[in-house]
Amino acid sequence: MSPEIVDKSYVIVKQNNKANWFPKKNSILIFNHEKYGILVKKLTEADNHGNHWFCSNRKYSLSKEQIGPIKKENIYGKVLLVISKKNIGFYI
Amino acid sequence: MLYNLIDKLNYSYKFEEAKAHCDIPCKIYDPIIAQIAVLTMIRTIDLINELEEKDSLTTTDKAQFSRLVSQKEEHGIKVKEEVRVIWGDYFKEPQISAFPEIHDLTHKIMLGASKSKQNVDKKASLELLDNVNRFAEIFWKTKNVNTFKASSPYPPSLELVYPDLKG
Repeated sequence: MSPEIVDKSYVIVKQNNKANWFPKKNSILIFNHEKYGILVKKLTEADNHGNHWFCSNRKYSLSKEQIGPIKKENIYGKVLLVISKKNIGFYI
Repeated sequence: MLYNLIDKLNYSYKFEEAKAHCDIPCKIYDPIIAQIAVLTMIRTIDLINELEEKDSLTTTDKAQFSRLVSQKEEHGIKVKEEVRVIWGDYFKEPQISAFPEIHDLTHKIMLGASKSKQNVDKKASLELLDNVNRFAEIFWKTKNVNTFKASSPYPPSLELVYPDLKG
């Protein structure tokens, strides 16, 4: 997810444990995908049916359609801090 | 320092790993890689044909022949991969509506690249170049970038479509 998260970075995540928590657009979220496992992606939209959509617009990355809709219960939480070898990034 | 500390903790505690499934920064698409790959295929065909004109092949010639065939194959795969990614990831409804020929053209490129991989066929590879050039022309038009044709300043010195980025 370069440049926000380069390979081998560590992320500190605020866990999704509140019923009234609604992730904001452009938040970087960690979620469980039934096919691809645990993913980190930027949220592009949440529709009225409770589906969360993620898209990368990146060459060779998964498309919005490939990822498909993600329900809130499968979202672990929001990335707050990204620690790479060279930088520390805040997403609060 | 913090990274090293967490890295050491990870060594003991094995944190869960999340994948991003992406490799390079956003929106970098350029058909020039496919165009250069076709030129490379044509160049290898020319060099293979030069070898064929010899009465007998030395060990070095045979090694060169093997290398050329391998390079032709590799660059054929590259043509297909690059065009497929631009077609699949970059072209969306507005671009497809503006250039409905893109699906047929992409399919022709897939078939043409396979044909050029399977054979030592200059005519097929030149047709492939025409199609990839057309693909490049359409790509730049979708970005409102004018294009021009110019001969590549290296063998096989064939025309490529280039974007006029100064315009």
